[in-house]
Amino acid sequence: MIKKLLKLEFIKHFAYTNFWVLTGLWAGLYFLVVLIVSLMNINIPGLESKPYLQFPSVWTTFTWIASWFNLLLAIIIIVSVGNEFSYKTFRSQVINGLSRNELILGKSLFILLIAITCTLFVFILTLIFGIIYTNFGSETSVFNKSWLLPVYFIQAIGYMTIGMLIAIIIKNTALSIVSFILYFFPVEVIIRNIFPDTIGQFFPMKIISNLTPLPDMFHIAPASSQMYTSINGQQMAMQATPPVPELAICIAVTVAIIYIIAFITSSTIIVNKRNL
Amino acid sequence: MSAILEINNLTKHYGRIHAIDGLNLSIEKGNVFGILGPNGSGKTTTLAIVMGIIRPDNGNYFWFGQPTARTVKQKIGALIEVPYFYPYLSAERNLKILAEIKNVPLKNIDRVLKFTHLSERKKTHYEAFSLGMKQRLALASVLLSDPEVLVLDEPTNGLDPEGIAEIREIIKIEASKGKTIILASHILDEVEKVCTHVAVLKSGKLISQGKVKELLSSGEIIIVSAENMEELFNVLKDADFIKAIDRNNNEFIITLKEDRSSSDINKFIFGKGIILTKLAVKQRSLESQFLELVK
Repeated sequence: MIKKLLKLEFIKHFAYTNFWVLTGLWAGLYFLVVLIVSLMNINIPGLESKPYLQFPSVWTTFTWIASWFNLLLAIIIIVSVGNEFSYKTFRSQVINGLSRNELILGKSLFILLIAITCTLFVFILTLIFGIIYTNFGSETSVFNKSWLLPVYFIQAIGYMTIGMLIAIIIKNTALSIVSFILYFFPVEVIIRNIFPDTIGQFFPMKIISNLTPLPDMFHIAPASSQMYTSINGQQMAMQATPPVPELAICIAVTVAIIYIIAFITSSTIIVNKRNL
Repeated sequence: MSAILEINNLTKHYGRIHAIDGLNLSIEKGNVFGILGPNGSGKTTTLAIVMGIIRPDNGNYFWFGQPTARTVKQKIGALIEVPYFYPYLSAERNLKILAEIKNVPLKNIDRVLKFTHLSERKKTHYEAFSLGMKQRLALASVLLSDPEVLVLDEPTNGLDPEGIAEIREIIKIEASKGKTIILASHILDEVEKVCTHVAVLKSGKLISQGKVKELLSSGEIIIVSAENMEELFNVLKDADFIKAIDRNNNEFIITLKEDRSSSDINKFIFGKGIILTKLAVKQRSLESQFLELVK
């Protein structure tokens, strides 16, 4: 069944130009940005090399950059699901024998496939750039922060499942994309502000979009020797937010997974209740 | 005989409008079953419910005596309302998706495309198709799994006369193979030409059901008059082969029971010693019969 549903999604998207345009846009933009970042010269005295492109920090940098383009992934899913409603092809698939649960299962597998592909792409680019820019010493631990890759994977799935749910509720591609973006900003931000921070930090977009932590270059730890930089002869500490502790990420990932399950479940319930 | 499709007390509201109101139907194997009704009478809603795309408020239905499942759907080919295809995919690719869902070998695609004269356009995107070609592709998708049952909702809608004739021909060919066909239509002529059985719907209610020949083809009316109309009326009202008598000025309009003809009435009245001054046979138009049914 799983193989069949994946095959269906493959037939639907393989000859669909818009799908490849969006995927190409994602891969192209991501590659362009990491290329620019690698060629960028940030002149901070005491930082001769580019630590954010070296193992293991490069994992943080590259997954964080990848997270900018999650919106595109969500749009791919919104277009895919929205089309099924606009062209009433969900209807035709149910008429011809798919169950409504299988409609959602198919899309969920499609989401999974995209997330795997994107994560692999990020993995490969990170490896290539990391190898180019790292001066390998005895203490270099290449895969130290590679656990951020599965975090990015969850994040990508999170964006796409929200996209699916919105497309299923609204049933219209253009309106869904607009709603998604509006929810992302400012709707959720406004709602979040009504609640105290303890609750606000658990809102879906807040949790999911903050999964991949800021790269190290934005928060150099106080204890580190790179921490001090000399400006006009004065020693000063770079003002920065403290690094996100790994435990916090663990909690965030757990909450994100709960959200993902909730989005897929809601999608299934809605599709089962509604007329197609 | 076993029922191919059984509908029990099906009800569906859209707000305050009753799209279907306690509908009961039973369709037997080998029937070419017409569902006839004016627009908005609940034909499409009924078919959409039995195909699983609209949820009924009440009631249930059984295909082949069982609830709907994938194995059941494989035996049914359905076209509801308008064809549903991906406009940006070719005809062939669109059918591939359905073939995959129905577990049908891919060689069937070429067969149905040939059958519906679309072979040469199989690489064309669906959006570039004419209305007739779209409808033919929809029919191709219906025939894809060589199903036992065809469910067709206004299959000739919007087609030119040639297209209509082609689709009717296809339906006749399929019917001659002993397949069960459920055909919804608001065109009486279509049902009369193609179907063996008919159910007439109005405002979601079943108002009449039976064999097409019995329900729609007893279309003869006879107009008689005599010098003494009162005497004629007294004779006619006792006749057991007369269904209805209407008086219209100086003549009676008589509807006969089945299997009786104008010669029967002539013989009968002459036998009673009355000589008719007028005896005319008129074919009542099907359209007016249909309007009468749904009045």
